[in-house]
Parts: sequence; C-alpha cells; structure tokens
Amino acid sequence: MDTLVLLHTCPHPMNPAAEYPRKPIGVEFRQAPPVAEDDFCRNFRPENRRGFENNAIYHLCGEAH
Amino acid sequence: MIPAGDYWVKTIAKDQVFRIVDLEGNQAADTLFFSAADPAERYSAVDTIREQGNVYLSTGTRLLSTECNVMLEIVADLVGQHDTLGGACATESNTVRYALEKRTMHACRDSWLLAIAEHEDLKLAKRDITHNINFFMNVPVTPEGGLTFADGVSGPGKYVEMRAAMDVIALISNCPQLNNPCNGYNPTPLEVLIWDPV
Repeated sequence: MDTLVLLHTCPHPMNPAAEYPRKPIGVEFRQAPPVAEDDFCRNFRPENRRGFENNAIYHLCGEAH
Repeated sequence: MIPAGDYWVKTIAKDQVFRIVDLEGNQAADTLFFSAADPAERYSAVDTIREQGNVYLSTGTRLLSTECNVMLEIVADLVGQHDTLGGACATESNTVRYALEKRTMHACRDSWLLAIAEHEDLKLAKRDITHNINFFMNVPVTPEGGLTFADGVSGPGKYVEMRAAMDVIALISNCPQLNNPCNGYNPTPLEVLIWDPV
C-alpha cells in the first residue's frame, strides 16, 4: 500500500560509541513486481500470508478510506 | 471488580497505592496510564525498558512517561515479572495471528475504544491508545530475540502493587483473548484496590 516512511540516522541513546557515529545510509526506490504466490515473504509464516490476504480485501475497498 | 472481558478506568491520585489482583490466576490485565493533568503524556514502554535496562517489569520498576517522568513505581509483586512488549490484542492483529474470521472476536483494543467513547470527559482519542503493560502476562523473550505468548506465570490471588508518583488515569482492559494461553483460554475477573498512603 502507499506508505509514508520517516527515517533518522541518530545513534541509539544506549550506543556506547565514544565518537559520534557519523555515517550515511543509502536509500533506493525501485518498482517491485506484483507479489507472486511463491513469494518468500508471503510464505515465510502463516501470519504473513494472512496479512497479504488482508491487503487484498483492503485494496478491494479502494485506496482512500 | 473488573468482570472478565470488561474495561475499568479511574484516576489515581499522587501517593495513592494501586493494587491489581489476579483473582483466579492467569488473567492478563492490559493497562494504559495517562497523566491526569495532561493525557498527552502517557506511559512509555520504550523509555521504561531503556532506563531500567530490563524488558520485564517487577518490584522497583519505575513506570516512565513519554516525558521520562515517573508515573508510578511498582512496590510489591507476587508474580515476579510482567510484560510490556507483547502489546494488546486487537481485532486486526487477531486476523493475522489466528485467522481472518477472528476479526469479530472481542479484543482489548475494542474495550479501550469503548472506554474512551463512554468517558468523553477524559479527552482521550484513538491515537492516544499506544504502549501498554500486560500485568500477569508471560511473554518470554528467547535468546534468538523471538517472542511467544506462553502459559501464565501468575496464579489465583497474586497481585501487583504500585504507588502513583503523579495523578494518573489508569485504563485496564481485562483481556478477553481466547486464541492464546494468556488467559488460560478462560478469561476471569480481576480485582482493583486503591488506598491512601498510611
């Protein structure tokens, strides 16, 4: 589904590093193919499969609700 | 008394002592705390866990707010550990965890939503329903980092007691979940006591 993502790169408060870990991360966007029946994530656990089934119902109702 | 599957909400004044009793054993008490002065300040599981360096709650735990203020301190506990990682059951999570047709089964989140709908004076909205504590619930963290809803560690008559460090609104869902062992597949009543300091 359309998803808003918010990231930050601050270190965790419990990070014991003496030096501020000033390292960048990369972000990349690609168009993914539709999730196939043999998709690894979909079949990883029964919970995942039911989540995708929920999505199918969600998208039947349209995007804006 | 909070009947099985029902909710309970009450303001506890600073310094009062608050006890929840698991009358028949193995009954999860899904609990939210809000600052009575400003309900936008609420219980924070992440701050509580980080500051005490322990994922379980027991005697000595200070329950911290989103502002890192102490809301309550646990002063007595006959169970030994309480969960704050497992979250509360919702009709949505029931569909994923158990089966799509479980959506219509009664869940904690529905009880909380009913509570805030029936108590508009609390000025709480759906978005205020966030981190919670599962008193009497056993959710062991495995060495691999997994979580399981295990059989209860609590028993009949066991209780947890805390002293309020500020005026707090306590909102409890006496968990109606029937799909995992958190209530021993048989939800039962809880008892709540509040008294003034001696």
